[in-house]
Amino acid sequence: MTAPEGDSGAAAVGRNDRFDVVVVGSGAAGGMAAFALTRAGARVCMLEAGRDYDPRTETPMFGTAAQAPLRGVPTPDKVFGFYDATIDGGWEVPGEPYTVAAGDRFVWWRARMLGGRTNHWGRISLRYAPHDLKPRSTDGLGVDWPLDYPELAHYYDRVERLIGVFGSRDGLEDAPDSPPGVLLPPPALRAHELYLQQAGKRIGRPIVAAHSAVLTRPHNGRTACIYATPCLRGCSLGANFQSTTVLLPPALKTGRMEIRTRAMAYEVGIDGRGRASGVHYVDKVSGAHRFVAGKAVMLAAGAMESVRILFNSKSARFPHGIGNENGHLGRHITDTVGSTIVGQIPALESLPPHNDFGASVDHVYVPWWGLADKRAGRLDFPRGYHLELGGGRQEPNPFMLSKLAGLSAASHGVRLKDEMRRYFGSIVAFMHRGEMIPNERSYVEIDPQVKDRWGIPVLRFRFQRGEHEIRQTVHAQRSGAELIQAAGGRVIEPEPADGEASVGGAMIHEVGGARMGEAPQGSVVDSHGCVWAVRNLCVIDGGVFPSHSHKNPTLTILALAWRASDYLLAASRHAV
Amino acid sequence: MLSESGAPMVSRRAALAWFCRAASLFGLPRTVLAVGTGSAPDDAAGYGRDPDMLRPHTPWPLTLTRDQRACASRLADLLLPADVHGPAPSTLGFDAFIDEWLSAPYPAQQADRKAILPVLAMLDQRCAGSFARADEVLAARLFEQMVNGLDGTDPSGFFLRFRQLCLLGYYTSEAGMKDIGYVAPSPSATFAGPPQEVMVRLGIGPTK
Repeated sequence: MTAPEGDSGAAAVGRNDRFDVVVVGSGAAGGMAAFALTRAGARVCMLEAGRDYDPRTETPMFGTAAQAPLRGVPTPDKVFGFYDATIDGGWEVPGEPYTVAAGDRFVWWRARMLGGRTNHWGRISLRYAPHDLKPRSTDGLGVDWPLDYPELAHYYDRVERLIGVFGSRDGLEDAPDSPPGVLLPPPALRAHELYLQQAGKRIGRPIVAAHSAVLTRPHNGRTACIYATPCLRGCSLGANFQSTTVLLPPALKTGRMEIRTRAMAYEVGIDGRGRASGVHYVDKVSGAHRFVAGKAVMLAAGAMESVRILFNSKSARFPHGIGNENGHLGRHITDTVGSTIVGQIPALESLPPHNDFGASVDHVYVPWWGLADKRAGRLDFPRGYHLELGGGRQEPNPFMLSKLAGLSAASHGVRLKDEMRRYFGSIVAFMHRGEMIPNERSYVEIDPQVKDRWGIPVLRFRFQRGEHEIRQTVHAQRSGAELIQAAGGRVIEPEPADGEASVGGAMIHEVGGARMGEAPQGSVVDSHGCVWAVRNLCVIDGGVFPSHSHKNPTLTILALAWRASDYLLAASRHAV
Repeated sequence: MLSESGAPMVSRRAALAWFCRAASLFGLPRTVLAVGTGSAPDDAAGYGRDPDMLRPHTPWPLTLTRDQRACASRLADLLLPADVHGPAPSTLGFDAFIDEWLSAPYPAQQADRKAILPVLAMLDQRCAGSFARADEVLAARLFEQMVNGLDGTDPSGFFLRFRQLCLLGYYTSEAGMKDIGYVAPSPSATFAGPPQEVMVRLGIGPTK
């Protein structure tokens, strides 16, 4: 997709040129900024720490398990399986360590490839609701966002129109409707989704169309889903949202963007006036340290990586890193709370064989239904969650096969095969995804000793779930069990007795660390992502989230990045 | 959490193993198949973090002996025998699957290797050197003992682990997927949802 990598990567714009904007990162935020800025006439240099990647030519659309090593199961090299669209990444990246404080648990997923984590993400695209932006005003915990829903809704509308999101308008308080005509029609439901939807109605649990960034009809020149390949592999047709298929190609087409891959950004340069002058990075191919100049800098490296860059941007003017004058840099980090409850539904046994693949992603979800209970004081935890629903007659995998065999009364032989056929498709799983409230024990800082292979200081995580999250998990587990039982099923995966929630970072929704706010005293950036002390430096990824609703963050990251880009463009016309 | 090691490199030493796989894939006589030593190489590499996903290949050498492969295949056939719904695992290349699995350099597969190969050796020992060639009565008796965990034949959860590998090897094959009732999707402009007979079975009325 780009020019040759590394030192030989000088492309359309000369290497020593000064760009209008240097964008660090090529995922959701970086791609969105590049799209908005270049189309408005700005000249952009994008730095990406990973290699070039083109889904159009690299996606294993129809590869089978039998063709893959070890039937495609997860390995330390490919943690989500052989075909997962993650390159040179995982919970650990060789040569790029991080540390976790003793007694704490945190894992950090990174992908070192153009487009970053947008290549493999789950495509769930839920809007934050008005109350999600005002948590302190709602229940006294955390802080409010320095913007209101209508400001964000305008960009949600634009993002959904651009990338294509299927879903429905259900009039739910916790899931704001998109304007008519914005969403694409959702796909038909699968058998288990329909059956559980009926069961949910009986106990007052809504199960509605998921909102997913998958095209159910042609959209903006892109082809529609062909309902035959897993989205987690990416899509060579561009029928789902990836930065590499939706945002970067049109930005490149303007002729105003240069992408430098294998470029590991580590420091923002500051000029004599205290303004950002560009970005220092390591050319991973040659190991050379380089600098690219820009009139403005946008950090979109992923929340934690952007925070790391700010920490490492030390100078006489900013001895503790940029944006850390009030000690908020690295603070207030969260990750979605997650747990799973697995059940078996007898009514789904021995169904006639049929194609149950659909769009590969979730077609439905259980939106948060507890707002009235919260207002009435009937909940012992403050923030909500939603349930995602997995199941159906999907391609056999190790998890499914072990569950099927576990249900079987026969240990082997023809009877075991009969039992496998009987139970195939009858297992369902509810995945709880909940809001975590920032706490004082969860933050990230620079490890005083450890450096990466280029000598760049690395992050040290401190992370603890709070009581709120534990009680929420207990509630979610019970809710999942109630739905399974309402469908005549039984829980087969033991519930965590103590409400044990997912390890920090495991949901790959880590945000915060450079939160936005109304004033410098309590935040790192303003409502547009601009660092208070360095106005031409913006953080535009999930680092700016002051709180983190249970909704998956990508849609909101895209909306905020577009909003920040528009603001920067407007500001540059007046001041730069 | 720290990982200072370099990215795994794809081994080029596995040419012989690749010849084995190619021979198997193209139906060459078994006599041309190389036979492993039964020992795992201590310097084998995985496929790395940036494998060619369009042209998958396994870079590590296959290490099982012909007897080990045959023993595992017969055991798999006893576990998941042929019936009207599908063939025996041995006819689907189970020996190649189990060899690839137990030869892999990753920790989980190496743990399986340690748990499984000694039991295969024990089975051969109890059958005058070859479980694969033992008469049906003896093989069936030994298999039943294993299933029932008798006679110390399952000291380390061997049976459950080996069964899981049999299930994976079989049900991820084309024949196994058909057996279990998985219908692979074909590219389509629409997704219609479940057919009417399924809707009727579930008591679901027409949807909007």
